[in-house]
Amino acid sequence: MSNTLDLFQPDEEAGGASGAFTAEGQILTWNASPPEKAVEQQESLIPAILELTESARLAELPAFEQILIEGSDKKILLLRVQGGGPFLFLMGGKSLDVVSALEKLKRAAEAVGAGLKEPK
Amino acid sequence: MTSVRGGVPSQDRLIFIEARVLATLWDRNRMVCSLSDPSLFHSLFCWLRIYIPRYRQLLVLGDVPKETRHLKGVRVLDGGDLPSRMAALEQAFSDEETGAPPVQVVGFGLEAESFRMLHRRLDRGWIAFFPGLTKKTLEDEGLPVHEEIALEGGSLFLLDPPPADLSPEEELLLETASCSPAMKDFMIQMRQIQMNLAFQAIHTEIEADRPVTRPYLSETLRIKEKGLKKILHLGQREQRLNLESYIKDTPPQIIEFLKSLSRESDLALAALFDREELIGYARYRECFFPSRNILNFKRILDRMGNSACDPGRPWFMEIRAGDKTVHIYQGRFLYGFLLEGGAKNSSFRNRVRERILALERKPSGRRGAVGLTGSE
Repeated sequence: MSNTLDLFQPDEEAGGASGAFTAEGQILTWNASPPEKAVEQQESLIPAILELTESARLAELPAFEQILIEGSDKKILLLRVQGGGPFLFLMGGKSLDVVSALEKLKRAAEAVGAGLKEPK
Repeated sequence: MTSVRGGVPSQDRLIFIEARVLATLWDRNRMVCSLSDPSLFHSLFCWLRIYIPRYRQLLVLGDVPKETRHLKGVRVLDGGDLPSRMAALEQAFSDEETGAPPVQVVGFGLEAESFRMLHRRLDRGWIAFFPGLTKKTLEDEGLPVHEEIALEGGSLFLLDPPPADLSPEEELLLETASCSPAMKDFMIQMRQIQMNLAFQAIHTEIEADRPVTRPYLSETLRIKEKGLKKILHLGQREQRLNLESYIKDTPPQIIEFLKSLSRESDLALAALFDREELIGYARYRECFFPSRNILNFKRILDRMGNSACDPGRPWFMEIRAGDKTVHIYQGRFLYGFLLEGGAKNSSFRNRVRERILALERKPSGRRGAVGLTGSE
């Protein structure tokens, strides 16, 4: 599985992040650039993303497939993968190319597919 | 009783006439009913009664028909002399301003002096029934007749002009045209009570010093502009309260912006906020997506702004969820859009971005419109 998740590494830039986690916030993998930023990223990003997905559910929207946030400083792309999960695949960074990031995330999601098991 | 003189009227003609009667009674305008046969007073009153809001106090006086006396909700004002009965009526009218239910007075075959006192002292909220009264008699009494509606066996004289826009009444009557009398009564009463409750709610919001905008009322009460106009007008007629000036209008450039989006085939809803205040709202098709959802998403992104993952401002967010897509833009204002069913979301984003840039370049609204302060 780690090979599959290695498919999406963050861009080589300060503050870039990529990772996969469960709908409850349990981290499956996380790559940060620089690596020492990982904990800080996880602590701020994951609760906010989970809050956002919960708000989307409370807004009675159908289960989301994709969330894109494009700010003046950072872009964050989130993909929801159903197989065995749901799992949330994320990629973010200052100069994130949304189209190629989406491709990477989709490839990773396809590769993981139903084989991805929620950790105990 | 609904039949008018001069043959059988068409359905459209009947709705036209009925809408004028409904509007007259709903607006508490003054009406005089003249019938050649006084034994028909009760049946005419029963026909008119479904148009009188049930939440009003129905006070009847004069030579009240026996059957009318026993109707539920009718309070007969008898006993005492004429001045004391009039004083009681005036007191009931003045209590309306302090929240007592509005009054509807119905006089049957009143003596000349009683009728004179009624129409001189009460500027609204009364109906008078007379046998064989002519338009000339009324006008000699100093009561110019605005309109006469001829019935089989008599006439209805409308003393005040009905509202210029009768569409709320006409729509209601069209909706109920194929209903049984009981269902029609229910639907008319339901709409009247709904509008009365809406007015009370608006009044309470204003008294609590909450910012009240037209888009907020339009969304919360699920009404269009003309519905809101009717609610405010009724409040003025029933409680003598003019709340218009307390309600912030949608700035004209935002109305233009929302109108310009009406050609977007996938767009279901648009909402604009200035800080937390809903300043523009339009539903382009039937959907349920409260605008507070957009504020909730914005608050989460605001919190992210205080952390290591701050996306920076301005920002754009897209949520793709099944056949629905939500777009939120945080610029000078907060813009939320709900799209349904389409696959052309990226082209929508480009088009709407152009319009947002154009809107944000425009100067503030004209005098009297809500100021566009922006959220910076």
